[in-house]
Amino acid sequence: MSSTPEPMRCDEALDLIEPLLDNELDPSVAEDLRRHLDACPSCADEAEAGRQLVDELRSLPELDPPRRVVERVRGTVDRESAQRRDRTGRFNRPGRLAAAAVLVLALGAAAIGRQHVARADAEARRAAADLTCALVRLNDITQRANRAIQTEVIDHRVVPVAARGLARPFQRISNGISKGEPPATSPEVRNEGNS
Amino acid sequence: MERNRFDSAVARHSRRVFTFASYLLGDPGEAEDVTQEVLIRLWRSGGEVEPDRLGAWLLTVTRNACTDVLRRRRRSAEVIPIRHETQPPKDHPSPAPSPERMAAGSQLGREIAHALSELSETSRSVVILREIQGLSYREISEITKIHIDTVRVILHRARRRLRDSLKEVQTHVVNA
Repeated sequence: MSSTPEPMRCDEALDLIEPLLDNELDPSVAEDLRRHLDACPSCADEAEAGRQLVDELRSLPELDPPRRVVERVRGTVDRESAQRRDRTGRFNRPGRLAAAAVLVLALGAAAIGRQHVARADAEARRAAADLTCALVRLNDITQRANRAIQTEVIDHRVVPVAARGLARPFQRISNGISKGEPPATSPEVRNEGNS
Repeated sequence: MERNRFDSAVARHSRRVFTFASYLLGDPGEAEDVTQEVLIRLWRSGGEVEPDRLGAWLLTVTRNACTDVLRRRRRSAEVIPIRHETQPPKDHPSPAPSPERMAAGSQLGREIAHALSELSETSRSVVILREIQGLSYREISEITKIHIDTVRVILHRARRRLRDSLKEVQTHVVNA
């Protein structure tokens, strides 16, 4: 049993009128639409109005600009061309060569200046490094000196000497009191005495 | 741009520029100003535009210039009420005929030119470029920066709106 396709509705047909006028419909859809238009005077009127509108739009004339528009444009272009020529004329060949020479000199000077700056920068960096080294060494020496002084003061010299200084009167006193054997001395004092 | 090339570009494209501006603005004086501005901009571009893209470039620049005019017009309309039937401004002693006058050969042509002015700027641009200037969808898409399928949809909707507004006018005339 073959099924007959549903007839096209008016709203569907109206949506397809514009594509039909531009020949953009598939042949089968265009055929369905034509069948609908044959049977529906209202949609056929719409299609006819659309065709008339397109014909009328396409027959609207292209418009030439008035001559004065082109003349004004040419006037502006002539003026600007003359100004351009003037500018390039003022800056003629010798002028261009001189400008090029000045530019080359300026670039050379800039390059030399850059080298000087780079060299000075390197020297400054070296001096800073030397200074840092010197400070580190100075710090080292200071620390060692501190330690030496500490050792000197506490362990070897100052305290025993001071102690010896103090001890002598006591010794004399003690000798004077006991008039016997000399009193025992501390190991430090002994060492000092041996050295 | 060399002077010879510029002169031949003006001879070849000035009509297209002026037509687009005239129908889009509906005012010959403003269309003259836009045409002049666009051609001078072409000269100042210094030949940067590729020759095979020149037509599309000019119409894109024309559309942008017209959009500026329409924007200024809207802004001044908010301040100064529009007076109809005024004398032409002194800058334009004898303006070119308006699209409506050019289309006055037929009653329908005049009504169409008027109905066009009631469409949005985008719809108007697409209708003018396609139907009056005969450009392809691809060219219109390039000029308006609108996708080619959307251009087609805009055109069909605009034509349908034109049909509707013409029907209204004709009904009005019959009833009067």
